[in-house]
Amino acid sequence: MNDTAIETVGLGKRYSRKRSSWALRDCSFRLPTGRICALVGPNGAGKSTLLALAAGLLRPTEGTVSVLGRTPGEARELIGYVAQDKPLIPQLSIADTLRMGQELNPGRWDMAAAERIVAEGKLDPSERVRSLSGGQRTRVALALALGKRPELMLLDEPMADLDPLARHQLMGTLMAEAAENGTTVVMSSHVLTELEGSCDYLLLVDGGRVRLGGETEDIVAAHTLLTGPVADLAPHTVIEQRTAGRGLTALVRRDGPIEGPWETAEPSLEELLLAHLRSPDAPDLLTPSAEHRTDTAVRA
Amino acid sequence: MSTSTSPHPAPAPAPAKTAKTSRLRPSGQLWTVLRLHRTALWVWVAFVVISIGVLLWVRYGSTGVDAAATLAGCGTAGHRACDEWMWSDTALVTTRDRLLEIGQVLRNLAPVVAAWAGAALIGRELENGTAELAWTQSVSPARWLATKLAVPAAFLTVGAGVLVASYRMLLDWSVTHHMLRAGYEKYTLYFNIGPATVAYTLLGLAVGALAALLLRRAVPALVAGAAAAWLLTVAIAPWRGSLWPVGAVGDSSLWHLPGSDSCGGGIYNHNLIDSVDPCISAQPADHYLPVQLVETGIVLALAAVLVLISFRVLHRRNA
Repeated sequence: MNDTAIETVGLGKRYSRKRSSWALRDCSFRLPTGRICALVGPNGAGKSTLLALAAGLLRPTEGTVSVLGRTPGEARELIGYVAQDKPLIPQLSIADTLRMGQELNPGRWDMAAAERIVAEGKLDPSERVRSLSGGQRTRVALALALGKRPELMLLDEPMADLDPLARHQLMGTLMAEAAENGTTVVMSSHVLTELEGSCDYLLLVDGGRVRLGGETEDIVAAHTLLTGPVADLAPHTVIEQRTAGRGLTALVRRDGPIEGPWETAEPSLEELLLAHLRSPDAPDLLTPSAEHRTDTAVRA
Repeated sequence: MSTSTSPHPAPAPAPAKTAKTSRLRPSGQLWTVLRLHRTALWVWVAFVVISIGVLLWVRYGSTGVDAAATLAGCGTAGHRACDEWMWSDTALVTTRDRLLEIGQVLRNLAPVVAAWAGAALIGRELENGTAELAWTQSVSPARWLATKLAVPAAFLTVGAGVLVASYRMLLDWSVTHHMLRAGYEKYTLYFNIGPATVAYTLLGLAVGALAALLLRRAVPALVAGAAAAWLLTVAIAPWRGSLWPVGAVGDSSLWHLPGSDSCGGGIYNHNLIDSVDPCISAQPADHYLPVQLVETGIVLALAAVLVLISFRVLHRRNA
């Protein structure tokens, strides 16, 4: 049984031939199956590109990406994907949109599940997609993606433009469906708090590469927030430090136990991510489960 | 397809239901294309039906009947010569003008089809991301494009085929009644009554699709597709007369018009008399089919090359 949802080796994507325009470069990581993964990073970091490559919508410029042990093209039936702007066909009714899902996924489609997701939003199936609000569109797009019973869900900024109530409802629907079917979910966002409660895996993409990858708990546990007098922090890796007079605040990646005159605390996930984003030179960290295993993933 | 020949009783009633729906109704990607482009396909069907109505009206309307009556018995003892009324009888001139106008419409289907294919069929879907929606709903980009092209191609082939056949019947009627005159005006007529016209509409489809795949936006693809299709038809047109070896004017078996040997003179009859275009060169009537088939072949080959390039473009950009 394949336990790898996504694996990339040296993955790179460049949209034009100009040298500076790599959207993603030298990106290697592995995402085990069954995880709810937050794909975070600032705007323009390459999150959408990474998801589109995994969904088989883009061809890598270099490197390889495999999904569930196959090329993204071969895994097409197993992947659910919701793009950032939730494209749907405006002239179709909701019922016709779901019918399209059924026609395009023969043998896989679960109409009852898709209709249930629509019904939970109190949507009239005869309503046309063009008249739906942003939240309603997201719900229909999710129903279309979940109706094909994917093994891997790729959601690009799924909750952007939603009010907190709709966000909470949809996240609940999504998590319930994922839990029921053991679906691996990757959700991108530039607002971490949107995802923090639901995700147990983390990929931080910044500047076109994966800087942090692994179980959220393990990544947080590998770091310590120190406050105390200015002193040499070796052998720990300093991610970020600030001095005020003789006082020091530093976020370090531990190498062995912390010994010294400092007060230690576990950083919050947000502090940890912000520290990494502010320090582009900090070394990358992939936990063992996020390290790619093969030298080349299946050729796309 | 599940069959009911299994020795074991079927455990679930579901397969019977799917078999029932899939046998009679379009399914899968075919259903999607038919549903998505329902309006456009109905417009095309309506265009074909209305055009056939116009053809019938030209023939059976009062003007057409008057024109035929004017020329009844012409050229035989006791009647006037057939070309005597050619430019003076209103009904005759009107009928002939209508025949030419219908020919012009048929001639110019390709740019219209290209505009639609560029904008609505492919361009809009690439622009607003619904193409990617299909590709993530288990349809590979190649199969998506194949169905997108095949369904309209079937509608265009049947529709344009019916139109060309009907137009040909109308021309046969007008020739029988000596309404057409040899010369410049039949240039369009002659080339529009064969399979080449159908091939041009398919060329329009291919041009529009390629424009959309290259530009990935609806409005630019509409403009570029229509312009390219129009330029291609204009570029091919002058070569049509020389696709097949021509005979010499004056050869008795070739173009020969009673009472006239000049271009633009005499009565035209594509069955009995014989030329592709006497203004360019003479062609016997039995050259008609070879000339049409060669032109059709060239246009279809061009369309095939464009379709191949379209698949290449799609393949290069998408996994």
